[in-house]
Amino acid sequence: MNKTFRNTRRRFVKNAIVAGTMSPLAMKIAQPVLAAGGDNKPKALFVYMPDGVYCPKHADGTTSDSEGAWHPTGTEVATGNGYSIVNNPTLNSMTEAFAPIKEHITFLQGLDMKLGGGSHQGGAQKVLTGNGDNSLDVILGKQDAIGGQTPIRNINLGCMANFQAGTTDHVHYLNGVSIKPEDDPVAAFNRIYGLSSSGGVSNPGGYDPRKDIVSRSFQEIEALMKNDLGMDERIKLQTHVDALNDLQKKLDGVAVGGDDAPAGGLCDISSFNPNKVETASADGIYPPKIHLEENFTDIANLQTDLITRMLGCGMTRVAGLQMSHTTSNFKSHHSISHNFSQAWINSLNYFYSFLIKLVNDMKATPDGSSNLLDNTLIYVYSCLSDGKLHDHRDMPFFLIGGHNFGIQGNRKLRYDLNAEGDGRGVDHTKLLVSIAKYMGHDIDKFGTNPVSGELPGLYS
Amino acid sequence: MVKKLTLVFASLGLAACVANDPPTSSSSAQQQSSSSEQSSEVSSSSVTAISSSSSQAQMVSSSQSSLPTQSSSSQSSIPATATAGKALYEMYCLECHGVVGAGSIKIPVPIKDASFDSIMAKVDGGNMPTGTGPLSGKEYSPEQCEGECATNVANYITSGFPGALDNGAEQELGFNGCSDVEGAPGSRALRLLTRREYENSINDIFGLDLELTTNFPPEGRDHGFTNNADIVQVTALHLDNYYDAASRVTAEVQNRLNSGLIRETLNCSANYHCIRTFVEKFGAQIFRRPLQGHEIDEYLAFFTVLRPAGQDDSYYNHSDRFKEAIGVGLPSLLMSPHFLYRKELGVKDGDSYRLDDYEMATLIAYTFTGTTPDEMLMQAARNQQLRTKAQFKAHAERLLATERGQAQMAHFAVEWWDAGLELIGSKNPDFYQGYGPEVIQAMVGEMEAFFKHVVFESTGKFQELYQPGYTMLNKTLADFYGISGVTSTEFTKVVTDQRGGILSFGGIMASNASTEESSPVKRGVFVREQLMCDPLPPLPRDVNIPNPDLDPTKPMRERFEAHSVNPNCWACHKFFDDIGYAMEIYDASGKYREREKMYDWDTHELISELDILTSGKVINIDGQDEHFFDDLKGLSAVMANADSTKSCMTTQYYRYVMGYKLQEADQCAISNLNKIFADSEFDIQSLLLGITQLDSFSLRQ
Repeated sequence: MNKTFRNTRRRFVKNAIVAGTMSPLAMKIAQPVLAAGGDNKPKALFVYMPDGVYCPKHADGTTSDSEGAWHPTGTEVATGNGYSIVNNPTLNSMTEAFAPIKEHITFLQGLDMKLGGGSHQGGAQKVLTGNGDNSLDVILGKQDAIGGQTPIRNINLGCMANFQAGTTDHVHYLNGVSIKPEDDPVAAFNRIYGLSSSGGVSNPGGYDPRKDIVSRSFQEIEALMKNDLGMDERIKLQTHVDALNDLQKKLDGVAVGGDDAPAGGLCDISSFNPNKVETASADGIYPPKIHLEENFTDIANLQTDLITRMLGCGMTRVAGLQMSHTTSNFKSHHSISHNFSQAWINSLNYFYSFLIKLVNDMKATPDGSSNLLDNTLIYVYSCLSDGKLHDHRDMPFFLIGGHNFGIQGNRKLRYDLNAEGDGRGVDHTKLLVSIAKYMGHDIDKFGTNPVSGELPGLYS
Repeated sequence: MVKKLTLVFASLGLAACVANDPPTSSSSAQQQSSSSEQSSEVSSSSVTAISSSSSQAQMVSSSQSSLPTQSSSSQSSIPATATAGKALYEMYCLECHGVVGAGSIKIPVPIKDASFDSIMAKVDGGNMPTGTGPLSGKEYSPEQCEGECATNVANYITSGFPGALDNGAEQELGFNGCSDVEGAPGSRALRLLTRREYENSINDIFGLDLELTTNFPPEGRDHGFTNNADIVQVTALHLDNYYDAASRVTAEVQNRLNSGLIRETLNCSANYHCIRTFVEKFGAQIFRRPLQGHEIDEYLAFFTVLRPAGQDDSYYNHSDRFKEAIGVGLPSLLMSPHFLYRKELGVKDGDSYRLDDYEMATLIAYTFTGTTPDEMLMQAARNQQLRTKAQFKAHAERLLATERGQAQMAHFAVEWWDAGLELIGSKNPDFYQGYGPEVIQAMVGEMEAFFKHVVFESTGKFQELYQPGYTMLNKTLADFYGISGVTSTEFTKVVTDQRGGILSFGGIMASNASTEESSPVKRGVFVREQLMCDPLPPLPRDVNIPNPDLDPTKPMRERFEAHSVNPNCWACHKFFDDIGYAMEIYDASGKYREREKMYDWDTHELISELDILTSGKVINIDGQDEHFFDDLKGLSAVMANADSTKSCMTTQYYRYVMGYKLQEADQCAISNLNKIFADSEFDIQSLLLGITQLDSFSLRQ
């Protein structure tokens, strides 16, 4: 399983010539070796939806099942293990958009973000970190057996996620510092696949100095480290070293393939962005094209396509996608999210439409023994439960796919309010533990919350 | 041990330092208190029950008692269990609940009389809210204090906080107040160039005008400032973007080898030695210091890597090959950590490290111009003429007299006001016609032009920031605001009753509002945190925070009345709601309005227009005072004359210059900078230049 990437400098040089002289979108570049047929590798995708849903609560904080609330309903079958199962749940106005992919969804009810900060930013900070310093996607990317096996450890894409965003409006964290998503799909594509952007230097023979530069940077950082620096600075430099290692690995990874890479399909980069959407803006333009509301659909479609390609091609196994950001200004979404209305449903359904397209694309993408969706666990989450109450109880989390590893669809798991003895359902970090385990990262707890163990029932 | 009290703002720090520093305290106190209307205290207090200066000094002193230097004998009279409880209390509870459990102004419910059982019920159950310490901004996780921790804390509280105000401990800890020599509070650091600094540096080195950082990840912001070295890190995404930018710059440089600044700098024709000259001269500019001999050779190897075997130096006696060498070599310099990080490592000097000549040139350059050092700074560094405070100040004065210097100070102001181009939000076009990117850009321009005008063309005094009687507008913004008579595309002084000063900026109003509605809460919190340096406690996690429903019969103020009715809400909202209501004369887009318009958000129909109620009071601005005002002008007068607002500007500027998360060790440096500010009768240029007179400007630990 642990294929290493061949460091074929000559081949990389050859590809770099192409990168420097041809339109990136018209070229074919080497790809990492694909998984052999039948080899199902688990993949994880984290999809953020902004500003919660309609999930009203009773006075005691428990969820109301009143008409229109987010959580699907149906006959609950108790298991005696702290949760009930609702098969073929009935969707409501907030969730009916998912009817076309309902068969792949596991809705979760009774998960509570119990500790950490409040409201929008508090929720964004902890939803993937469990109040720790690193988000789960970053942790998975860091694992040798996961991120270490692909050219890109993990990818973090956004759709207008950095537009008019506060410094704490995002969900991914590294060393306690928020890391920002990439909002330009074409730039991200070029970067990931090692293509030069327009206007760069063109060297004789396609010479690329980056490996030598990486080597030099290692030396210089090592020398800086000898300055008896404090811990914070050492961590900072170590993170820089990690980034250099990642660049080195990517350069090695992209160099592999060439003649071995399969023609056509998702690994043929010439098929990306078929409509030739221009995302780059001229200097001095504000806001840039990628942050214009009228371009959101094009941007989101390219980002979801890029994710399908990267997961399907083995470029990475861990991906994130953020729709806007918390307290989203996108078409007044945040304002709308304060009161239950058709406008709110419509706004969410717009964001959901890209997720549904992504699911269908993944389902149509061969992977391992079946398709990409069957191997990928998609975790869909938000920073809030109810958009008006700004609370973190009974979060609107759900999972999609992962069927090759035993996760069923078309059902809801409802966790008992007193599952942990506090009348507040299950701590959401157990779900993060479960996702980690799904990916083969065997941990017992995640983040700093004083709970351990995984979420029961996912594989029942 | 976790540090507890970061005296980020001068409130406690100033009080403590002044109280223990007789030679300068009286004059400073006099000058500052002269502007206070009702409070005789020198500075604001964030602790309700500890209001006198001496008590504050004790509080600060006690906060030192768990520093690593703590001596065991200092607590010899305290039972061991209480000592453990005290340490845990300081780690988990102190900033919100105060040294002796009296609470802070943000957490006014005292815990000093709480019973053991009630404390255990709250603490041991993991029911404490986590979040940011109201003083230091440090993350607290009191919910993690369970079991033995909770028991120890409860014992400590119910025992009456033994040792909390132990003056003996204060002496042993060496906390004897601040002197003029504040030492070296800042750590030696590597400061990653911000996007702005990166772009400015490259463009200035090569005489270019490129936009290079469009796809760079945005920096995190600390109190609005993008240059905080503690919250940035280089990821794989950064490296890809750095290389992309370096490649683009290199291509541009290749095309300009025979013209302009590059040719002037090189002053040589295409040959091997000219490549070496390129490495030496541009290398020194890129690294902001001369390259060492071995570095020149090692980087030269990048430039000559494609020379065929057997070819001697004459291979490069051709312009195409010279150009080729620049192409393959220059990215290596631009990707080097020596370019990407501003180094502040210094050389050992007694117990501290003193920044070296080139590090000083770099610090002065980026502080006062936001870009790489100019030739005069580099020359001064070469000549060892950047070693005294007078020399630092002379260069700072020189740079502040330039357009670049003044633009950089305006940049500082806009970051202080947390309302830059990337932060001013969109508005619903159905209700705010005419609002768009051009207006947003003009709003940033208004703030920049205003700050430059006040500081460099007008009185230069702090008070004018709040009470100018005018603003700076261009035609775009004047048209949007509905102010006639402005025809210039340049920003010019416009006298108007409708706006003027920090509390009126369209950019700040629009940033602190939703797409549809103004937000008195966001605006009030902004004033409290950014302008008074009075950070508020984190939002409660398990309290529902419903937005008020639209009611066309009630103005915003009445719709938020639950804040004042519900004591749980009012505990915090009393500090900022009234401030926000005064700013209701500006709608969500920052436009002045006489009355509040109530719309049906679905049909867009105008339902009614209501009077705006702007009167109110601001409390605890300087200690436990309260000031009443009728409208925003009245509030501006309070802000202009308060002490905490002035010391907050000092703190924010110090934060911008130093570029790290402030700690309690910074309190004396801030206090000394406050004294400089006060001695100048709050002349802003004196403050901007005064930073160069602090020991902490050039010393690190």
